[in-house]
Amino acid sequence: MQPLICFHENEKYIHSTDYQLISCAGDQDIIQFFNEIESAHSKKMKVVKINYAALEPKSENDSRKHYIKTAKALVYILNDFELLSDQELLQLYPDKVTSWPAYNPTVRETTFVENVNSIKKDICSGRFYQMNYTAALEAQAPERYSLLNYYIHQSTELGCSYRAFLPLGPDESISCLSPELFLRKKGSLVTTQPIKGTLLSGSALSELQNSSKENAELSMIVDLLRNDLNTLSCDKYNDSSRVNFHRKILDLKYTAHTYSEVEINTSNKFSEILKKTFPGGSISGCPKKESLKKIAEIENYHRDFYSGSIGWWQDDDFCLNIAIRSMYKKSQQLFYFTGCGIVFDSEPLKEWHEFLTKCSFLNLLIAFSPVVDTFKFDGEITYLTEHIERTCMALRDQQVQVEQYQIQSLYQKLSDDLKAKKLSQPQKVRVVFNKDLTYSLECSELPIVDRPVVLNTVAHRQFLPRFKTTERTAWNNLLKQKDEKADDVLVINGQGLATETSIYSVFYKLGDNMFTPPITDGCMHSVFQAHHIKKGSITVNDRTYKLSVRSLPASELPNVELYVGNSVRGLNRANLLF
Amino acid sequence: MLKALLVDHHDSFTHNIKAWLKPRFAVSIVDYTEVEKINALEFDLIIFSPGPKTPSDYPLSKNFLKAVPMNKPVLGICLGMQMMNEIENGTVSEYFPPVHGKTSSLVSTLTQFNNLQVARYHSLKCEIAATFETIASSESIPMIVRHKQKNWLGLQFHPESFLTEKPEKFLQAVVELCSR
Repeated sequence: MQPLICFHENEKYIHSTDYQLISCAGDQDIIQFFNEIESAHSKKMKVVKINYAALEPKSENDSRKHYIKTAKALVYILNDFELLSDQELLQLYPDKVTSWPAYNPTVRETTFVENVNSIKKDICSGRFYQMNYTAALEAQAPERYSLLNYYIHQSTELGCSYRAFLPLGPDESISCLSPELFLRKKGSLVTTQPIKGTLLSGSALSELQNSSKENAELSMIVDLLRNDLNTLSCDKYNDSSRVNFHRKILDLKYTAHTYSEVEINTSNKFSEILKKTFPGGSISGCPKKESLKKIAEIENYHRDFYSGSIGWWQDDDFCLNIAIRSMYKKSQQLFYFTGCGIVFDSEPLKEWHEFLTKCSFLNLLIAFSPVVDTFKFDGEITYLTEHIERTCMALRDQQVQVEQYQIQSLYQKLSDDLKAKKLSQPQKVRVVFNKDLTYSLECSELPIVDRPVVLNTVAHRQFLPRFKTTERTAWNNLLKQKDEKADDVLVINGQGLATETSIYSVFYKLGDNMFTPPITDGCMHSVFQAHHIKKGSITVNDRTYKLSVRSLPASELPNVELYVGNSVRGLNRANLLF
Repeated sequence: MLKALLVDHHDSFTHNIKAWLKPRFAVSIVDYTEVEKINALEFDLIIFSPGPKTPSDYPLSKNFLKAVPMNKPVLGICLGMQMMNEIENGTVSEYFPPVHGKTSSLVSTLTQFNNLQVARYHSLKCEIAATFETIASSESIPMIVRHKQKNWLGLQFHPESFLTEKPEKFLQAVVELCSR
């Protein structure tokens, strides 16, 4: 029989090739189904899979797509199993994954953004506080692609504690790399550990820890799960649910989250607990009833097993995950699912980026754009250290795993190549880095800026790229709003703050000091700006001024002396068209 | 043990309210759609739970509240308080931006409430009716209100949330409401 793997305890995994598979038919009552299993197979170790909508009544007039269709509940009764470590599993299945199918989101950025806005509208009208919005990605599997090998090798890479691999049919299987515990019952104690709050790629951990939005997102779900656990019968223990910890950091290799722990003592058994708590709060929303309705309204597909639960069950003890970060394969068809919690403070484009971040370990068709670096070369690379740092960050931002020393030696080689050209004039050099760290370079004459740069302002509420890549759609669109008398546009963000131009960082003189807007106002990582912020000073017309970071409200623009700068062109005076 | 009836407006926090009241009250939960079947006289306290949407989406609950005898202790939480306010001709309007799952601190002349951090989940706010007095507020929004004649107490925040500091202080206020 095809092997089955499921998390257990103490970093050991249930591994079985000898089991009996029982499925719950569509019209069968699921509670009765589990009660029958319990009375017939109580002592046996069981692995279960429960679909997200398993406890919902069947809905009529449903136009949502079925990317996949599996039995609403499955129970594997294990005749025999062993508990193996990661290393033992690797030895058992040593074949490495050699091909990486390319995934395409089934929802477009525009639809995603529209749906997030529609959720936010309902939040404002008081319908709910938070909703978990999800979408699917699809791919074609190459010949001989094994989801089991993918599972084994990816799981040791990513280290998600609640992972499982389930064979469903001859060429149908699920690989679930969940980091989230839904319910663990040991004796009378039931524990849940909801996860909410995601570190965006390129951000610091402190941004996640200090974010009031991410804090509120998790707090709501903690209150919801306290409520769901409080619905359990606990008179025998005279207990109420308690929060053991709140907002611990869960550090995964490709991102980080915050999570909390809630627990209670109960006399309820498996099926009663499911009935009162399913589906999990973190993947539905709050209040739950209205969120479930909205999910059915706006998600264009049936979640099936995704965001349901997978886990083990023996005697009265069990442990179930939230079946997220999950992949499904049937013949050559592959699906992956992921989602985000939407609250009032959610910014649609940031959520889209979070969505991409969460599936960034997949080979995303849309994700990688070659990284661009432009510098001045006059025998040396100007601001070399900052260029190395930024290129390293830019590649990591797109999930390329590089170390700074690798980039350092690339720049050494670049510099040697340029020296070998024996160029007589200082040059502008544009380098394009690919995912595999190969690069191409282009030299041109150093542009001379001999008059003030003329700018007109453009309002832009959305997220612009944090790093320069060959993908310039957003900037090209903004440049369409450039005045014919202007050289470039100055972007004003949603909070009314001036941020940057298409090629320059912004600086301004106020009194006897120079200032530059913080990167968090929505500026691209700039070598020239980073260099001068670190230095704490900047030279204007041979006079050195103290330089500090300060936002620049658009309303102050008429009263400041404006400058723009980059590492090729240096600092230049700028004039604004009003 | 005092007997309390909790009218449930499907907030997903109903059982946390029950747990918060548990030390002093035996709580029976009734779904708001079935509230007509209930005899308010059988209880020492009637609670109107928080919930989604607006007070006008719950005519059954509002009618039930109107019919509650004047001296009967009533506690309204969030949506529940907004219902009380509407019945007394106060206004309930949209509160923008909404505050969900966040705390703010109470400003009150009563020392037992002043400066306590309380959990807020609301996108509506009350301009309170003349028959109410404000006991505590936060960011100029009424957070604890008391009816001047009737035995009604309204809480705009969520006393049952784990984010609310010293929930037992608010429980004590509810017990006192029942002994007036």
